[in-house]
Amino acid sequence: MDASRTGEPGRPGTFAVVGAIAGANLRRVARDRLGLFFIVVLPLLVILFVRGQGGPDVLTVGLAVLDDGPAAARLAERLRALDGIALREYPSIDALSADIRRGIVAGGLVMPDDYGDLLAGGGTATVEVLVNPASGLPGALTAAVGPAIEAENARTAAVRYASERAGVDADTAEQAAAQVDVAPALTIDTQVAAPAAGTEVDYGETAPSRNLVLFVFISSLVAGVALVESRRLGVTRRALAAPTGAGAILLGEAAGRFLIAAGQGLLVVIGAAVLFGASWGDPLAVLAVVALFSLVGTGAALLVGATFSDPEQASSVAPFLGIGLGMLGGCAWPLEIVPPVLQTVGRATPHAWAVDALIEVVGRGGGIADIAPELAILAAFAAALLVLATWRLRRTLTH
Amino acid sequence: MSAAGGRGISTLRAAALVAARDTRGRLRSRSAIVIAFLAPFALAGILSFALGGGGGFTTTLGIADADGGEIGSALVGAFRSDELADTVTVDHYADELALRDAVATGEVGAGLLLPVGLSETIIDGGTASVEVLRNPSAPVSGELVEAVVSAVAATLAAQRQAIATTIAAGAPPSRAGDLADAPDLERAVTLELADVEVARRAAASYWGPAIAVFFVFFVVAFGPSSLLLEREQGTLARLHAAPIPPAAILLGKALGVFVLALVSIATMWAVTSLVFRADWGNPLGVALVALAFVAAASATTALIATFAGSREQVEGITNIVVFTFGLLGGSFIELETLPEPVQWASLLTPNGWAVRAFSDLSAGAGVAAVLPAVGALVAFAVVASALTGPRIDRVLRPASA
Repeated sequence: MDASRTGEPGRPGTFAVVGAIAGANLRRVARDRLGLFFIVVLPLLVILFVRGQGGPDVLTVGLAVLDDGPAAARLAERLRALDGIALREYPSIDALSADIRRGIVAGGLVMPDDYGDLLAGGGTATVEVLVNPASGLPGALTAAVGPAIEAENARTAAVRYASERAGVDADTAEQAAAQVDVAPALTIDTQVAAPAAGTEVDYGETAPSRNLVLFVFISSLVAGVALVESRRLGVTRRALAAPTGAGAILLGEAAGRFLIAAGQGLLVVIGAAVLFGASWGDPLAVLAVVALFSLVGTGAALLVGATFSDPEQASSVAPFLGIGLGMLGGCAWPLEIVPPVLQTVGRATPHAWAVDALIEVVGRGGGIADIAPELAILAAFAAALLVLATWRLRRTLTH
Repeated sequence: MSAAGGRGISTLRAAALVAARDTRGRLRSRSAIVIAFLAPFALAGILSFALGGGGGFTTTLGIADADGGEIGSALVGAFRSDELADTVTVDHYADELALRDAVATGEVGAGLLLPVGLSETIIDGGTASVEVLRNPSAPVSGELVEAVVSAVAATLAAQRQAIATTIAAGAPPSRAGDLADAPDLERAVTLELADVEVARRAAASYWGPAIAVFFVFFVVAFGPSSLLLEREQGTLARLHAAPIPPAAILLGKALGVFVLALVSIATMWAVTSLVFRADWGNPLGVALVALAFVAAASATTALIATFAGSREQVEGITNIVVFTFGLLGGSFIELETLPEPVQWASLLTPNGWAVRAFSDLSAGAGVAAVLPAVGALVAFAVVASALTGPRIDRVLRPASA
């Protein structure tokens, strides 16, 4: 039923038909300036915002010192000297809490009024940590102020130990402690594991990869809605009346959508590199992932086009289906933090494999050989979606 | 309200009829159900299950110990402590390459390499280094390893300092002890996190309202969209011909989406509270913020409709505005983690005010604390309506032949 490649007189060849339909798709997208916002601008905007997602570089922390003794003053001084936090001091717990709620500070520390007395008496003093319960920052805050607390602990413990072991009074021990300066015992060297060990890539730097995957898929699903619309209007059916085969039409639709998806992927790669200085690693490997995942998106687009009959319903569902799958597939947060059940569900999405492949390339310097398993799985997803979509479309178009 | 100029029914009643007709149509097409109820609930559900920490975070860590000495044992022991028992499983690896592989393939979340001579160097008073192997896909595991190793390093530093201080205070070295003895030093200053239990419910309490806010915009956008659709299809002309005041058509369409949006928020409130134990906070506060936000969103979408020509253009611009507001306003990414200039920019959007207000309410704030936000939202609604008013003819005028 397919026209021959070269075409007979009066019958356009398959390539001509495919080219015409693909071209029509591309022209439609290029004319739709508003749609271009979603394809180009939004992904880059999201990347820009998400880069801070590892937590802000400098944490703004509040401090309320309710004790006016020397021990409290010393800890306050250590906190002021910390890199990585910007300290704001408050006269009371209420003032601190109010600013925490307003988001002006990420969280705060409170030194109670009996801090110095408890320590002087040889006991334990507690510094309370306040955070806005709606934020995810308690761990970051505790880690940021940790060095100051540990230094104070070491000092206090040294003084107590010395006065006990040397049999001297507290003042002598304090003086001794002030003179002592020891080298650290243990230091940490952090590395990213194989294939190419290099400087650490933090999670925020994987944002361009994760957002590329998220948006290529969402755009593909939304593009599938156009196919629902043209089916509803009978356009596709009328196209079948022309002397070409159903296969050529489907190929044309697929080619058009593939080019748009791959084009978007490349735009995000280039845009993130130029605008944010993102580095993508081995270009061939990145291209391979973009190409295969665009194929997956194409299959999904065609499946949407084949499955829905009401365009309004399709356009309500498509973007949010894309967002949901993206979330499940690890585009929004690392899959390691979700319950095991959801980790398994995530593996059933093509997104998880695409993100893994890109992180391997971007974060660990991998090449095509290193991501071969992920590429194979993406190819399988693409094949399955395309076969399913083609089968359904043929049925609905020719019956 | 009395009938105008001898026409059949009052404006209000006509508006109610228009609203009812619109709503019936939307419920039939099911797209309204998807946007107003299914989609937000599904996304909030995914977020809550994923981030709500149902079972708590667990991970497997790998350790390759080439040292075999006391310090190595101390490090391994730290990972096997009671506090970490529910979180961490430790696997031992015979050599470095095997561990690097395991981290790279994700078999373990992160790894720790203990070099030969580690214990000897440290006990002799020198400085030694351990290597933490991280995978960018698993940031939390990597941070966990670094945190635990840092804690051990801090303890070792404290012990060293204690011994040095004792000697400096005049004690003979035999009294001072050495690191092999590992003097047991009590930590005098501890950090205590207030409100730990509340933090656990936080995910659903932030994301429930944040997502509901985002979807409300889509719901109210149905209003101008349907008006323009009727204009295109010619049914708007028929409505004008009917014996109802023109204002009733506008009012009816606005009423239809207004009610749908409120029901949508109310449903999200109820369902996320029941199913995900989200705590939206003071009910009166939530109701006030919801009402004010729906008004602001409705007025904004109406204003957009007066600027664009075709329905497609309106829908396109509305989508851009809704997504941008959603991004800026903290519906996709937590407000606190956005760069500070963006946080200020979010105050230019109704979303930014609403998400902040809901966030305050779920943190325990009272009605008084969110009144400024309610005021800001009402101001948005008033300004947008004022700008829309004179331009309303552009939307209402039936398409010319």
